[in-house]
Amino acid sequence: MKTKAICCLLTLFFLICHCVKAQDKLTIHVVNEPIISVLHLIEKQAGILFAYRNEVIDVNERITIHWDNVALPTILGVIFPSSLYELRTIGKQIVILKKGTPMPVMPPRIIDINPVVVTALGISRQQRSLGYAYADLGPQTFTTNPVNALAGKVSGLNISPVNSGVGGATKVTLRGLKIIGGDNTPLFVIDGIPINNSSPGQADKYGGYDLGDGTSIINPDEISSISILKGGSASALYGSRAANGVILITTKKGTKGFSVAYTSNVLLEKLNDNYDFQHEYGSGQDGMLPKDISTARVDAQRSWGPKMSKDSSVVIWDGSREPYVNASNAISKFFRKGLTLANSVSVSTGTDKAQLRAAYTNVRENDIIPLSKLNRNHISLRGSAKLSSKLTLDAKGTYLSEDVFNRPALSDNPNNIGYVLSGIAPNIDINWLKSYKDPVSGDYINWNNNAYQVNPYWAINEQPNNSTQRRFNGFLLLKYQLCPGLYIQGRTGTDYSKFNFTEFMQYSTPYYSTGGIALLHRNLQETNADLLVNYHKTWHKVSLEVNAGTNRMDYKEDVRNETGRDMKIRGGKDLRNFKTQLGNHQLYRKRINSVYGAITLGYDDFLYLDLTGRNDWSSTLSAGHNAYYYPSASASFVFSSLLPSSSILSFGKLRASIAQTGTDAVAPYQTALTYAANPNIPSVGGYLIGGVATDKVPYPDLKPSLTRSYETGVNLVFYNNRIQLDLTWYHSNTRNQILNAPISPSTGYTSAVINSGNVSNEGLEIALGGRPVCNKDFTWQINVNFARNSNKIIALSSLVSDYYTLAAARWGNASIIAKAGEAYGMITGRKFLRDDKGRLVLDANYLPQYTSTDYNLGSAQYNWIGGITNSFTYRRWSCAVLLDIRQGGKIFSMTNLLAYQNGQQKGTLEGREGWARSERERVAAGVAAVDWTPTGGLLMKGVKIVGPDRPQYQEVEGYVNPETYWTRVTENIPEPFIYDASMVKIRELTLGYKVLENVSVSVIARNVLTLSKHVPNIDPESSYNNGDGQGFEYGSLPTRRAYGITLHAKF
Amino acid sequence: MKFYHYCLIIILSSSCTTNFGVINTDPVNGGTIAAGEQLTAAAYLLDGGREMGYPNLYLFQPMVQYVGGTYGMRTGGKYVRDEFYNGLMWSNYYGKCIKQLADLLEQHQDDPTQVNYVAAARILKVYIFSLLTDAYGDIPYSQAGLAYYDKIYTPVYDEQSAVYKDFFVELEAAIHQFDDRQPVITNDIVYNGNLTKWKRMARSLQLRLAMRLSAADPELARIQAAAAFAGGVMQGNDDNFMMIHEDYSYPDLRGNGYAQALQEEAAYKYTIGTTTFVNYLKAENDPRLGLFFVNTDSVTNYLPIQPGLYWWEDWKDFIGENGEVVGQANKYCHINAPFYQQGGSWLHLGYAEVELLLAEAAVRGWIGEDANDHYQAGLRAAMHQLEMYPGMALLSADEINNFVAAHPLSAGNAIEDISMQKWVALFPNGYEAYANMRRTGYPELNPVVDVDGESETGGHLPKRLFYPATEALSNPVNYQAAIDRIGGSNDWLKPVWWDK
Repeated sequence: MKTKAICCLLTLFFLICHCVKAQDKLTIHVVNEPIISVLHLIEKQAGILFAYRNEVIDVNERITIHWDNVALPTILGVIFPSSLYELRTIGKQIVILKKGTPMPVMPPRIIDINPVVVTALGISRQQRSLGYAYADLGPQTFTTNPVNALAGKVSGLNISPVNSGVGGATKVTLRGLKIIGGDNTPLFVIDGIPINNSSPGQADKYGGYDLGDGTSIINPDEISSISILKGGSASALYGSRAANGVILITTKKGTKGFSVAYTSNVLLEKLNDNYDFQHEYGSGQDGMLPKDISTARVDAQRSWGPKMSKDSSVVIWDGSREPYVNASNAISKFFRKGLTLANSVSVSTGTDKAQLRAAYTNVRENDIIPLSKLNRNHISLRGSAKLSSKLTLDAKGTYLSEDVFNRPALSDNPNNIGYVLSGIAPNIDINWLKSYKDPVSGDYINWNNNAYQVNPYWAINEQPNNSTQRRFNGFLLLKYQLCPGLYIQGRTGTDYSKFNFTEFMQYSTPYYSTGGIALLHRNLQETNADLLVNYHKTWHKVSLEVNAGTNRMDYKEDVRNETGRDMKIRGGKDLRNFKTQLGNHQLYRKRINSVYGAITLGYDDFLYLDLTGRNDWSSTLSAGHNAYYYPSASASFVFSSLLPSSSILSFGKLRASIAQTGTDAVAPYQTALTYAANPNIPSVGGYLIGGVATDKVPYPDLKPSLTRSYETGVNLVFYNNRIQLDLTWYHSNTRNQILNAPISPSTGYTSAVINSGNVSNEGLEIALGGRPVCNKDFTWQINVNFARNSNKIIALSSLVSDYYTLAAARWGNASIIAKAGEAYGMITGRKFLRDDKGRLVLDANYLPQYTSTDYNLGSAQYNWIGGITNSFTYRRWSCAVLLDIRQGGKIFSMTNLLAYQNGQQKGTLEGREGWARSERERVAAGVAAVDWTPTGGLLMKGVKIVGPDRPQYQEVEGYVNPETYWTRVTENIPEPFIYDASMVKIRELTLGYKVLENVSVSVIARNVLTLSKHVPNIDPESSYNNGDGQGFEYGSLPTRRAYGITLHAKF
Repeated sequence: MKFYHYCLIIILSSSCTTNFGVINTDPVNGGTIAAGEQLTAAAYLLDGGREMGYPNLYLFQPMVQYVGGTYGMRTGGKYVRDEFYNGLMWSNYYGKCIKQLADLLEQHQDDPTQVNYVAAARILKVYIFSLLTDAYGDIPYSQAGLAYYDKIYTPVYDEQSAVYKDFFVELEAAIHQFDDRQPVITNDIVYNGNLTKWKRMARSLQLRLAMRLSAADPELARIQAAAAFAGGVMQGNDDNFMMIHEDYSYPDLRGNGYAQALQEEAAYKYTIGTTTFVNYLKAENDPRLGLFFVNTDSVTNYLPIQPGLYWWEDWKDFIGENGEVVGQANKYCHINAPFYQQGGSWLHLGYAEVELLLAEAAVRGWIGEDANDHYQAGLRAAMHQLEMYPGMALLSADEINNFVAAHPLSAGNAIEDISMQKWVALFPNGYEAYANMRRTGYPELNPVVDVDGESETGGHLPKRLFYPATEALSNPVNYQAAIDRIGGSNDWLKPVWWDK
């Protein structure tokens, strides 16, 4: 309390108040001037700014006016008669809208010359005054996942959804990864209040579920605009968590008059079948059919048998014999068609003084995975009112309820159906798997002798999981106009969520034979309270705006895990149905206090300077180092204002900025050791087992991490807005990072919290817009964006090693690491051992040898990403196509690795016939395998080492069993399973028709077509989590393609 | 502007951090723990849970040719490198056991009221490090487990000779540190606070470690063996160092790790006695054959498997002398059920082994005792030792007496006799059997049968485990120094120091 009072007093103190009345009578004389010049005159005299989308003003219209001492409202009333226009005042800015502008179906993306945009802290600014790159997506239609809809639309913004299913998470990165082993996600802010975007759970190398992320609170139907603040200067005012940029979402408010809007989406989803396996060889090993039931089980997922033939039959796991032929039932038969229904209705009512908007949205999604579904409800209420001539109020509450059933298990989880399906031998009919349990006992039927790959029908039918989320998000804002030009604003907002997840393991499931249940309860609350003072004033050509404020953030996360083992009654899904019950509890708390200030100076509407400063105090840092200050400066120079008006260059701006942003430790309690009883062992024989409770070494001297960034750019508009170009170059260094560095277990711990490292990111962003055709009926707009980020780890800590493992692969011993001197996200692993001439070094059996250490196998980061949008409007029709391009990254595909191991991959066909023939000859000759020289098989050419002391190589060649070869390679050498992850996709296709002024219908398709990819059997966008160690793919599900219809109506 | 900011910072610095100390203190996990809980954790977690059963089942037991047959046993059975099995001792012993002991010692080593905990922790620490160094060779020792207290994130690898020398120093010091006037050890899962048993265990461990050096440093071995015997080693199976468990299946860590590993996908069905082991037991008329292995019929007579073979590779039915047919799936003998009871205990170091060690010390003339007396006491104890396994059929007094009587120590082959019987006595403890085999050369292994040519050593027995690959990334400098001492590569065919 005391703190707040001091903060408040001081901020007022240095904002010495000079309240001067804005000039409200104008004198204007013009003859046949373009309307734009007139608006410019008004702006200068009245000390206001106009903002409008280009289509609102007719650039060719010329007017003649003779006014003396006329009030501003009168003038505006003449130029913009209220029958045609709607004027809204935001601060000193006047937004001009065409009356009853309907929500465009798919508006042409226009870089307007003079729009008002929302920047940090919700401050509206003219875009021309910004000294940093800024992107916004105006009103447009968002599909059910608004974050995924941003893919390919903004330069430098990389959107990678986790390949999971309904209610899944998305990895969002702006301008590359900066923080090693920390949080690289931009901060999401809705109406000025940060939302918590952490995930309750993600899969790792040993499996898990994608439990979604915090963006589920964003209701696509409520979005008024989305702005992307990419650089340090843009986001410096948001403090610690904005080091990775900010995604600002402004939601709709009530408006004057009464209106009802209704939106309905119907979306059909089909799987995007990428599987392309061999269909010649069926189950077996060493070219032999399974010999009995027990080997038939092992061979259900080994396609190393003989060539399939109508004349032979094979024993399967239940002992029956089946024809040994291709079952020709693609894996895709397991899946169904998905259906999403999203319906939304909103009511808006209001007068000049008070407005209210209420909205309700329901989304029902049935995934392509049978039994997997989501039901989500959003209810929100927003009210704004002018309580007196000086006091205004704005408040909003949103309630979300989300229930998800049967999220797909990912990665190495035994229930992962993607992993299991991609291994089934081609002679096995998937319908046979539908008898997954004993009809009498209900017990699991062993079909593959592999506890870690359960029958997918058992997985989805008998081992359900479900999650519920109840969430409230809201804010209350009071603004008091002390005098013209000075206001004070108090705001508090909270984001509260209660998340529960239940995973059930049925009795007799092979990896959990006595049954089990796992419960996760997570309650999370983040509350922000801030106080802001804003002052602005204009003297002739000079304008000044000052903001000062203070903020407190309180965070509390309460996580309880409970597990039950040893089921009492089969099927009972309550914890009390389990004999053994274990649990643990974690409570995380943190607080950040801040003060900040910002000054914007403008000169003659063409030169702007912004200075900001913020100081944070974070509870997660050590006592001596918990305060950190970060300033920023940015400048914008609209040089076209100084040039004679030209028909070529319509607008030109240069901008530059420099900023420092600080970051605290995301997690609390990292400065001291903690002890606890072992949560997994209540006691053994009555003895208690406990000790150090963390695997992370705490660091008592934890300091904040600092990112310093520079940015410069140019924005050019030609031919009266027919061509727009925006170029940005940036550079950032993140120092003193708070790492959770992996360390040798011989230290007693698996990782260490330390301050370390220096990561640099440098990049180029280009946004190019063009309107090749633009006439009354037809418009064609092209928007191209491109971003290239190059990343380098300049140093890691001297206390730990130069390598930082970001993720480890389940198979093949590959890792994704950060290494000093290299780029973030290098995939490493063993390679084939080769001599200095590049020839394979073979062992005595002609099998390849491998290196004893790991090598760089390529970077998982894309070289560049981009998007191309073509949009067309013809009278009432509109159409848009979005191409999403990502080039240059690598992916380690464990689906392909395992397909080589089990003989499913087409690449395993080589040498099989020859080996089978050789074996027939051997058996006929009655020779033991060790004494036989194969006459056919996979021909291996290479060298062997002769001379033990000084390696000498001798060229050799010989045949090997392809199965033995691929076993050796897949178990040890990840090198051949590294693929190019580049891709070009038609991400989005829309076709809209405006039926009436306020009623439109559109057809939407998402993930329509993959035009180019380089990895077989999977979609290159197939990561199993949203962590930083991207570049691994394992047991992926097929991705989805969606088609749908959207209806908008407003009355 | 800046001036005001600095004013603000100065004034607010104090008040803006009020309560930060409380907020950043974990309200659930405390800042202290009883030493007994840490001690018990370190001892218990050596073999609690399936992961801790894997190294024995898939590496060491096949290496000493006790058992073979499952796919996983290819790593110890025919020497196919497996990063996962190979690294488990390293990650778990350091990460779960040494971690707690290092912390316990840092916290309590100067506290006179905790001397008994400290002494027990030092003994346990020597035992755990001995398993690690015997498996890997040079290891992080003097700087291990000190990441928090000393900020050592990349510990040096100490040479094995130095590590062994320090073992003896530590054991001697710990034994003398016990003080019955100070509070006894509570929550002691090993000996329930019995300091005498702790001392006997320490002396027995000292004897085991001394004998390990019989080739590398005979003089030190002699001195330490004599000192151990003089100090008072285990007197009977009641003194055995073993770990209790409760009957829980994976993933519950309360179950015996080795038993849980055998239970996984019913691996016990394919855990088959090898020709090396079964034929020796048969040749010696050892009544323990039927306790170690199960024969499901009257025809196959404990059919063993050739080392290196998978259970399905020699695919043919068994035809008995009288034409009886036993199907492939049932023909081999497999491990007996008491060994895979999850509530069973795990024997780390027992009286039988101690007697056999004394017999060897006597043969070498390092203690003035009758070698055969100790040898026969060892055989007798080894047979009684099996009573610890739940549901194990008991051998009759006659069976034991007859076997012991039939096995006097032969004068010319004393070391071989002792070593072979120790191999039998140690079953199922592959850790110690593998170490003892490398030292003494017994048992002599049968050649590995490698049908598909999968062996990565050409059928040669590895002499150590290779260091986990992650060490090259997380501790590269010290790792490189360690492998430079064995010829520059992470080679598992290079012997450890005491393996001469």
